[in-house]
Amino acid sequence: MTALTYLLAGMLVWGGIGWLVDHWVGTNGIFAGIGAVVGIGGGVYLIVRRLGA
Amino acid sequence: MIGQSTVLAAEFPPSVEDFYLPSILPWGAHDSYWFTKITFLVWLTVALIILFFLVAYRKPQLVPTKKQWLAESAYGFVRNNIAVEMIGPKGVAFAPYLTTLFLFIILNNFWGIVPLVQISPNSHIAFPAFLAIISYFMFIIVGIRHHGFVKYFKTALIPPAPWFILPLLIPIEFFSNFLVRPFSLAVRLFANMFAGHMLLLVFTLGGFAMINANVWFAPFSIVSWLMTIALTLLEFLVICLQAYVFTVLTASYVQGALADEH
Repeated sequence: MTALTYLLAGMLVWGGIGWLVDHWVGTNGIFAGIGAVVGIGGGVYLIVRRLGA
Repeated sequence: MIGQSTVLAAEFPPSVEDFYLPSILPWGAHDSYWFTKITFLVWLTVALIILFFLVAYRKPQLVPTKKQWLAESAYGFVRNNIAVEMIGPKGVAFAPYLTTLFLFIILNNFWGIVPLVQISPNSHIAFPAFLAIISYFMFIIVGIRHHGFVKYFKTALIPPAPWFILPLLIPIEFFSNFLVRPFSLAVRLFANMFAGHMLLLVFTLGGFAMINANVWFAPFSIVSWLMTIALTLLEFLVICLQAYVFTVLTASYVQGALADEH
């Protein structure tokens, strides 16, 4: 449950920030894509640190 | 009584409108939602819980009577299997609130399958949302009182990680701990009760729609109504599960607020 929340939260937060950057810079979605990947990486890292042994 | 007539009168493809029941009060009934079946059921739930516990504990016996046994096992279940299990020895302090929460939700959900009542107040998002807000403030306040303001938010927001990765992680922590939690609590309970009511409506009204369309469809109508009965049993499972899940998650958030950093 918490793990799933972290994964989704990571993607949504950094994907969302990337989307805002896209809007600001005027690109078509490259930053949203990068943000989602980075965010899910952060989510996985958080799961390992917080919930892992 | 009220449910029966509205169900029979309802159109077949059920819509969100079916959740907004007419006012019970005869005066100013048009467009007035101040006192509907939903309101009535919530107050009835509150009254039933209060009365039941007052009656059950009026003359406590060493060898419990039937009512006392029921009340004690409801409280004992939440205290031992949810509060202490999730929070630890400190959980006993939260057992009264968690029991109230559990009973309030399960009874409110249960109206969804009581014959002739068959709508749960929790299928309106206002009630789950408010319960979620209470849980949300509770775990934050408990955390602040346990750790102190700064230290609580430090443990909640800053994971054990090297400094250069923290800017990446803190927004995720904030989002998942302080934004998603109340929202997911409320939506989970609301959506389950809403979908359950919708399912029962579809199969009941679908049966009527088919039999009205053509008498030869009567066997299908009967199958549809049998499905309603089967789904009512499924709903019973969902009702108990969702009340349990809401209480367990509240307890687990309180546990997270009380936990020391590791």
